[in-house]
Amino acid sequence: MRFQRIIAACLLPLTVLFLFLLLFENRMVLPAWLQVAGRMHPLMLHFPVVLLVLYCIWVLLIPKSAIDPLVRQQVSDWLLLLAAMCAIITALMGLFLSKEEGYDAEALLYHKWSAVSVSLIATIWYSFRHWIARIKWVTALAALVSLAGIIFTGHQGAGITHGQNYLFAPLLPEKQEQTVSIDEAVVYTHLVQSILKAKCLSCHNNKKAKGELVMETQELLLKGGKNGVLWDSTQPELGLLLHRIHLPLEKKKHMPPQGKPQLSEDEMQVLYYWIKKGADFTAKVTDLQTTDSLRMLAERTLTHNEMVSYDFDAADEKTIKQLNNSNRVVYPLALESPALAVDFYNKEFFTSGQLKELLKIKEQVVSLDLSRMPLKEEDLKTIGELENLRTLILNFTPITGKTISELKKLKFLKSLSLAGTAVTKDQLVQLEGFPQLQKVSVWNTAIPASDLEVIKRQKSKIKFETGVRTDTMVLKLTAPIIENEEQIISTPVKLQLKHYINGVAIRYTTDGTEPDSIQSKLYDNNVVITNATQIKTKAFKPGWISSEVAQRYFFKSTYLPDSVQLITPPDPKYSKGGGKLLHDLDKGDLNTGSGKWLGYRNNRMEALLLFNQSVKVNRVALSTMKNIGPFIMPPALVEVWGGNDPMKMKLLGRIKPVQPLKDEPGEVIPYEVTFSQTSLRYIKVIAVPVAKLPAWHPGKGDKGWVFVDEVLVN
Amino acid sequence: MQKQILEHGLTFNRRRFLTRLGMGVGSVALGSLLIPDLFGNKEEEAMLSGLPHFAPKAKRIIYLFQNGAPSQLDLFDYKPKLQEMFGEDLPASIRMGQRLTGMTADQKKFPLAGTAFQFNQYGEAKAWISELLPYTASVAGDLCFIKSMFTEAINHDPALTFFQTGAQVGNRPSMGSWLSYGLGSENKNLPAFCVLLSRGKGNGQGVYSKLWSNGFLDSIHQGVQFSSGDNPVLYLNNPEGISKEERRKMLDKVSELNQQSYQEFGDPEISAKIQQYEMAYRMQTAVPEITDVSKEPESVIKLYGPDCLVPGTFAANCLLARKLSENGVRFVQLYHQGWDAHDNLPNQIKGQCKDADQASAALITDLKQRGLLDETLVIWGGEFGRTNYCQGKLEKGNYGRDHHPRCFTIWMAGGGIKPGVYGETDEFGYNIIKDPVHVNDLHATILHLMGLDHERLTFKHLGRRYRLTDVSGKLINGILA
Repeated sequence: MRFQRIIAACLLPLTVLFLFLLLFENRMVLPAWLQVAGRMHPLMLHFPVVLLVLYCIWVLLIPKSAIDPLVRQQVSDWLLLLAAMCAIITALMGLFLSKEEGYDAEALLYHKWSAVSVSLIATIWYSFRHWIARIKWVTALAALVSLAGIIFTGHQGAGITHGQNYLFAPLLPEKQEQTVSIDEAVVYTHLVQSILKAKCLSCHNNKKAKGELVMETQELLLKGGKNGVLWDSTQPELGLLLHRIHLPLEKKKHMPPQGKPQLSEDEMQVLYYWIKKGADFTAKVTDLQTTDSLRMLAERTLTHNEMVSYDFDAADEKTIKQLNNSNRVVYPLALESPALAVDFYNKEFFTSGQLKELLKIKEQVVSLDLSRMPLKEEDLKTIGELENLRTLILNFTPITGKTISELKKLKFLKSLSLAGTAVTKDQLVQLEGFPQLQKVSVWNTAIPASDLEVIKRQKSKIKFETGVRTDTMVLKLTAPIIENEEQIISTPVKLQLKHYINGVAIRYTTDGTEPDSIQSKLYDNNVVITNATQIKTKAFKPGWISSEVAQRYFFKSTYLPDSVQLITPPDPKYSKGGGKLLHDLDKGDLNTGSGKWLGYRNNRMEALLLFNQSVKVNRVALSTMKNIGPFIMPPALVEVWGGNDPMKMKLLGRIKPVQPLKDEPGEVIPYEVTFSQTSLRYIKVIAVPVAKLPAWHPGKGDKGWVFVDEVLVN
Repeated sequence: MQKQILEHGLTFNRRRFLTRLGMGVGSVALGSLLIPDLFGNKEEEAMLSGLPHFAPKAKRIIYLFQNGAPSQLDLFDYKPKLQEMFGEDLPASIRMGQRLTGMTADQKKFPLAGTAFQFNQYGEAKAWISELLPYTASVAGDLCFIKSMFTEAINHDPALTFFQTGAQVGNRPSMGSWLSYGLGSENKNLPAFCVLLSRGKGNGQGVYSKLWSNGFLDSIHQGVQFSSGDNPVLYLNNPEGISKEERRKMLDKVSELNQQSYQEFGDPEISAKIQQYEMAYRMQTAVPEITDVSKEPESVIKLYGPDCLVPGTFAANCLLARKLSENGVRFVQLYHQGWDAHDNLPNQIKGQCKDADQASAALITDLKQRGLLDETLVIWGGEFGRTNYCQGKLEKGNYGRDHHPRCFTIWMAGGGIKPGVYGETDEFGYNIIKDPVHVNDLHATILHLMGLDHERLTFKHLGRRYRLTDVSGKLINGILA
């Protein structure tokens, strides 16, 4: 009795420990000795199974009258206590064991939680048996539940160790997983037949032959059943088989019948395309074009994702840490993977010695990137020792390929990049002998394009990536860039034109005509502008289409007015700065909000320029913006008035600027009014906004804007 | 029996209860020996960082983000039905109460707008690609088009933030930061996460630095923006008159001081700061070498197009992205703005495609010819799609499209991706009818390709563990090679 009490007392803390570890399972870290305990789970588990079964037999099968009630009670208590105890211990061990790798997550899930339930039921049942047992049938129920639970748990557990369906496998029809490579696969044998086997044969076999149809052999398939042949490519539905398959599921004639495993989308398509193509029993997958739907389906079905696993040991962590520095990076492919990748950076620091140091981890390096490093020929010998190398990148290194045969030792090398190196065609031919090489990148090498074509066309297991030839591409150059910042000149300035592409000829004109490639002046650094000029420039280069025109007006201002009065107010949104803006020599760009522009929309612009002393003038220019999107148009009309008395001014000249066409880009344009030289103290400039935008404009009929930033008097 | 019950009640007294309780507590203590990090999980997180969970398919990512949402209906998702029904109203049975943006909410009619462009099929998978993308079409055989992407947000900023950080509100770490956190940096001379911006001529939408923020992760995981011009990385150059040696000396001293404060306060941000200074010092030599494109041969310039030498263009950024990636930058994030064509779409998209098409395709070709496409994952796409109906007035050859979160197309290529077409939309191009891919699913797949289990890449912050995929996300098995 005392012994029983001690064990019973241990039951609670054990349960608590178990629940606690279950709760924090994900963060548990096991010492090695507990792993040993975990591995004893398969031994221990027999105890709870046997004890629980014994308990059930005792409680359910032994008639009450046969034994003294007290003995009966004591025995059943003992059995239950030991069963609960062993169940908890076993479950705990199982929890430890489950932390080890390699268990199927789903199977484990069922096993784990059913085990948890069984051990908890047993424990709770034991702890509260006196209270609950007063209800008669509860004991029987609890016994049955725990019996069912232990059977289920045991079965699931066995599934984990012995494989799913281990128990009933001898009773089930034998299944053979056949793997076949795409190159050898036959459409009928490896695709169609396996579908029929899985989904049709259970009813349409030699023994059952429902509808007098047997689908086991080619001949019998062709023969069909009592409703006739299976396919007929002259019918829109391609015959009986596909008709039945495509019927709605609820229909009685739908195949496979409701309740049986149905065909998947892919399987239906395989059958459809196979029959559509004439139901050929011998065609290979590779006979089909690569773009053929059936081929694509086949590739999807038959290719299995191959996972690379590395069987060598991991390198010492200290070594890896030592090898890492600011220009050599060594890192594992993944957590707990022994495979290492190595990348080199910063060619200034590279030495052959750094590469040799990798021999400390020669077993583990599977990927090595040496792009742009100043490699020497003999370095390839070092690389050849990295026995497990899969990927090697040697782009833009100075190797000539003389020693490339050193890499032949790399029996796992799959991908080799030689872009931008001096390898030759003959050396590439040597690569054919490399055991596993699949991909070689040879873009930008000295190998002539014609040879590359030959190499590419060769039937070879290696895929050569030759890159794209761009020498045949004819593209348009970008326009030259006018770098001068000043737009209004008072002293002579150097014209600064620039183009980003080397070897480009920049030509320009000053008369407003478009530059051409022959007659227009060639730009050099010594072009000086002294007067108001319109520069148009274009870039030319052999093998390219000449660029668009870039243009710029250079303004000149001889006389600055002493003050400017705005007679009519600008729109309040664009009025900041007032009249001063018009003679501050600060040009605006296409940004209306820069504070360099005055904007008018509802009324015309009238500005009066005042000179303290009279000036001799023959040209007055108004610098305006054109930007069609935000409704900014050239003025409809520009007028210049002048005189020595503000009340008696004469019209000196007027122009009607040409209105733009659809999609013209925005720019800053001057409109200049010229007249015979006159001595003036007052000049009035008038600009009238467009009253109605033209019909092509998205805002047609609306009022246009006029934006002005300078008035230039010469 | 009665006696036993009574006895049992009597023996179960307080002393016994306490003894048992003691034993229970004792067993918990025993169990806690097996759980070293029960009271604090610093070690767990330190262990996580720096290595993939399993062998990765791709080592690096270049994400060509097309900001503003390119119209899938004019580029990839060919719907002749829309041309047939041009101008007819979108059936309510198709719209199914989809919410609208403020821009079309007042519209009385939703006239279907078939694309103005020709489509053809390319590659083994016969992917439909519009005439706007001739270069992309030429590399179609290497691309995997996901036609069934969908997202939860309907406006740019939340959608973009969702795509980049897995949450519509800001303050979460960006995808690149998660990768930097999970995998560490490959080249110690460069940051693990770089950002490049460019802008097309079309209607643009802002991108903000919150998109490449490290959120609650350590600030060494923040994206480093490379700008165009003489100073690609701001404040990286030494000030005038300071030599490299002087800078080194200064850094050594500062690091000493910082080390002292770290000893004193133990704030991890201080050690992050020390690392950042060191990284910046090493970047001073590495960055100018990488950003110098003047040595690129003409064949490469032709491949990416002449714009690739004009700093700040998408083409230049693609070229730079290749160089950064080649030099071991884990995640290069490009943003190309200007796809938000609410009106005048045919015109705007022409310009956008002209800027983006050649360089995007060139990146694929260039990586391939260097043997790097197998280990680099390239992703191209926007934050959502565009509607099949017209926003504003519909004309033959001129229409606008509003935001559409229910379906859009992106493409992926390279490491671990199986080229082809995945997913399908209905004949109106409005709803997904096969294999929908949520943004979380895409994130899970991207992490998977990089060797990370999205459910295990977590960071504890404010009392809970966060993931890039939050509480959902499943692998898109159909696109994996």
